[in-house]
Amino acid sequence: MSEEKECRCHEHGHHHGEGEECHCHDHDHGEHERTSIEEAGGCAAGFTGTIENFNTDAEMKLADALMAVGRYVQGESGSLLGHIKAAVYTEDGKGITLNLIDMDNGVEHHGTMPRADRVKFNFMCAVLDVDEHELTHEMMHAIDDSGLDYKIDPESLHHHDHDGCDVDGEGHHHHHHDHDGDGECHCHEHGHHHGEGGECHCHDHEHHHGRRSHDYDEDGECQCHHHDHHHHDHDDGDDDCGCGGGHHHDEDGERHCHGDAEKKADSGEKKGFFSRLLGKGKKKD
Amino acid sequence: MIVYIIGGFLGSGKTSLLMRLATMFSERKQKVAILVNESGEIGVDGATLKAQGYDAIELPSGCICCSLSGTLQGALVNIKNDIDPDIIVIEPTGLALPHKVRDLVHNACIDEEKDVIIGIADIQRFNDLIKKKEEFFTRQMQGSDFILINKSDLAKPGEIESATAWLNDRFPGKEVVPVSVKEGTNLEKVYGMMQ
Ligand SMILES: Nc1nc2c(ncn2[C@@H]2O[C@H](COP(=O)(O)OP(=O)(O)OP(=O)(O)O)[C@@H](O)[C@H]2O)c(=O)[nH]1
Ligand SMILES: [Mg+2]
Repeated sequence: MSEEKECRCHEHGHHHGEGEECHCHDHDHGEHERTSIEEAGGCAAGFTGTIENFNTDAEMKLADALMAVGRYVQGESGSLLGHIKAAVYTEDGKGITLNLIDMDNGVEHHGTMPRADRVKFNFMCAVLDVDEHELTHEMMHAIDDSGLDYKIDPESLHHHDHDGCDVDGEGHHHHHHDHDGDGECHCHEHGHHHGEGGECHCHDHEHHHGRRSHDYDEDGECQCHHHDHHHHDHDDGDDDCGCGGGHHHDEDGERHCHGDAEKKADSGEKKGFFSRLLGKGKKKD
Repeated sequence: MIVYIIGGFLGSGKTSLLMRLATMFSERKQKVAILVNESGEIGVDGATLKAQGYDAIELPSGCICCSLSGTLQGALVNIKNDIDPDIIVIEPTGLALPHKVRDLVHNACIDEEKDVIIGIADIQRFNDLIKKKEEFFTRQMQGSDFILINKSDLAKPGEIESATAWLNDRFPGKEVVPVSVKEGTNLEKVYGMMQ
């Protein structure tokens, strides 16, 4: 790693704890010439997907999602220097574009579109001075919180799955933010097996995920990676995890799968990022 | 064949201008090929152009002035061979350096008559951009053959004048034209300058 070359690998905002292994350094910096995006201090994030039952109401919800991302960017970098935009289109390519450049002006809508049972969307954002991974998270949360009936194309996120963010079979997102240093999810490494209705002891282990979600398939395997809601709890004891339903949201919009009585072991750490994520109250199960 | 490169920061109005230009060229019965490139994996401009009835070639997953330089050159050669248009309009990402794109076009050996860089500056965020990223913005504009100050319809009194003064000071001799791509203001003048 050559600092002189001004590689921005370190600015991704990965969260490593002590004893961490950062793999940012593994690529070859000998050849590294700054790209213009690096030179500008910019970053881009985005994904594609589908929306069911697209109408003017859904269009407004999508616009709200753009605004939510805009607020995040403004909060992070002080101003929205960049472009948040989405294209919505049918199979034949006809559609609309939403642009957000300026928070005061709001979202600009271009084109009109009749109601459609299913549309495709491309949602992207290129801005300055924010972390790309956080930006992607915010975009996913924004669309999740918007109330849209959406699905994300998992393949459109393939650059974003290494730090624990993933899209499940339903096209909804979930996160596994690890605080123990290596950025890996260790849910699968415990070797425990749960049958149907089995109790989850994942929470009893020492590993720390900023958000976890546990589910068990017929084989009793932990399906940590396969659903989309978020937990920030580490001490759930033997309560059955009914991850498929029964989530509770408190006034802060936080989700407490295991009931109100549980403590939030992580509540003091990673305040900025995780509390912002957890602050979004809508459940999308 | 003339190659136009539309350079400008994110959201400055490149795609909007590109659509105006494409329409103008088509009305003049000139064959146009459009190449768009966006930062990141996912693009929106290609879908927008398609929805508006324009046929565009999208170069995704990287920046044509750096990581996708080879892809750009390959695409240009293919366009030359397959379409042989009168005009190629290239919209690089809002974080690209247009003069680098021009160098790549030169080196692609497609026998173009000339390459023209049209720089666009967004009046609405002019001061913000200069305050935060003056060096980058300057580098982005430096290769332009002329600079458009776009979104004049949104300008507050005095803003166009002070932006023009800044640009004249920084780039002596470069023509600076306030336009509103949205409303069509001053675009005839721009078309004239492009010939
Ligand atoms: N008011 C006003 N808005 C404009 C003008 N030109 C473009 N816009 C709007 O600005 C927004 C961004 O325009 P684009 O043409 O997508 O900008 P761009 O430079 O291609 O953006 P990126 O490709 O993301 O860098 C859109 O909502 C446009 O409608 C203008 O002259 N006046
Ligand atoms: Mg564009």
